[in-house]
Amino acid sequence: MKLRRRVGFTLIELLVVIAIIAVLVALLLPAVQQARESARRSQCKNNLKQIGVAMHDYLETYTTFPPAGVRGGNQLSWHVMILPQIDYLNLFQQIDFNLAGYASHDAVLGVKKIPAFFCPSSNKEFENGSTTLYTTHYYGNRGPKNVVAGVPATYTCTNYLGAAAAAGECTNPPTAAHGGYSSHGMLCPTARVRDRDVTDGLSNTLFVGEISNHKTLSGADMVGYRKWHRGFANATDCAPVKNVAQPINSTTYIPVINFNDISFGSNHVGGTQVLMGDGVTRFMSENIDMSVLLSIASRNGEEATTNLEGD
Amino acid sequence: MAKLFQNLAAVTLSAAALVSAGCGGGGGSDVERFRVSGTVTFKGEPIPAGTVTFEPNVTKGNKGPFGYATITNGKFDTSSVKGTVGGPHFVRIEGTDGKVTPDKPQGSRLFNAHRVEVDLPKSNSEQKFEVPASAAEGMQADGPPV
Repeated sequence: MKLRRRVGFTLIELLVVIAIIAVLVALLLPAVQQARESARRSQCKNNLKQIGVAMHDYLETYTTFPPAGVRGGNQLSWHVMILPQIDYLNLFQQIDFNLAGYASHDAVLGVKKIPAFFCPSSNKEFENGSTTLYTTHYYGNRGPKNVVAGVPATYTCTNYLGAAAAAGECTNPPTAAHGGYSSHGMLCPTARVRDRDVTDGLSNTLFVGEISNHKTLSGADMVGYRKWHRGFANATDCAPVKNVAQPINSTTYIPVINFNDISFGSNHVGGTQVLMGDGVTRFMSENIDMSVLLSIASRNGEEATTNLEGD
Repeated sequence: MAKLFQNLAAVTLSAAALVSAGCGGGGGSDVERFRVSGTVTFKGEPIPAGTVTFEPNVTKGNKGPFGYATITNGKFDTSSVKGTVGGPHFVRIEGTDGKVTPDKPQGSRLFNAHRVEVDLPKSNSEQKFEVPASAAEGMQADGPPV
């Protein structure tokens, strides 16, 4: 009798194969999650890059970078001013710039989500306490404040009119309400910065950073978010830009005290992404040397150490 | 049967190679940080809420990243956030009374942020900081709610 050779798998063989596949999938899942975060980080970086291109487009058109926000009048932010440069010309043309106060622009701008202004790694997208008005995750660099006077350079502050601040206002710790305003940043509340004003070099100066994660003392999440189109609304605070005085990713927002000093920070592990003045996007480690952080935040401090690598 | 296990082995190996390729990256930091914990008082009383920020004293040749911690009921501990690099530091202390009102969700400022100069060891340590009553002199008003 001819022995017939059986074709197919036994139950045991199938079970072994399934078990091996299960183990492999278990190994793969964390890698998939990592890949997804990596993709979100890339998208976030691209958003910053687009903002950088838009800023330079704006510079070419108007020979100056935009101000941080309009003081008085329509009180709109620099985000609004670069709308035509990021392909939102139609939205820009709907704005009635004669309407006074940023709140009167809620209906046109506040309810509009501009994806380029959000880091995909964060799910907080509304201003604090709202479920309809959007915020942004990208904030301009208003400049460093001295941690130790004179080191790595002497930084000054201005009041909201751009005049020299009262003695002590620029010190860090701040004594001015909400932290005062450094006068060494790229996006300043009243002054418009031109590329020639950046004497430390555009490639050595922090332009825009990410605040997609911050906490208050009590651990409340991200209550420092305001409407994305809000510019320079009050004398003591200017929402779309931040002083550099706190550690990256620190969780030290104290309402009514240090609104202007909220640190750059993100959900990306180990640091945050930043846009430099020349349009290059970088990952900035939360372990960055304190004096390097202050140096790259100033546009005209003439510090010896002034690039991200610390040399 | 032997053929089957040969196939299985090949599949397993190539899958393992794929998995390990996906798990690369994630370099660590070369900065060594030390845990600092302890207590902070203002006029002898524990500070209800606030922050402690450790700034390397650049004037004394120290360098490195900031360290920081939050104060809860007079205690702070950098272990949950970022420790310090050790060496000479300025310690910046900001404190609030923790009394919550609608427009001041973290309470009112107790004193102008206070700075103490300390020499921290290059190891984990416990520190005790005392903010003197003089730190509250000439304190500026908190800003309006924003």
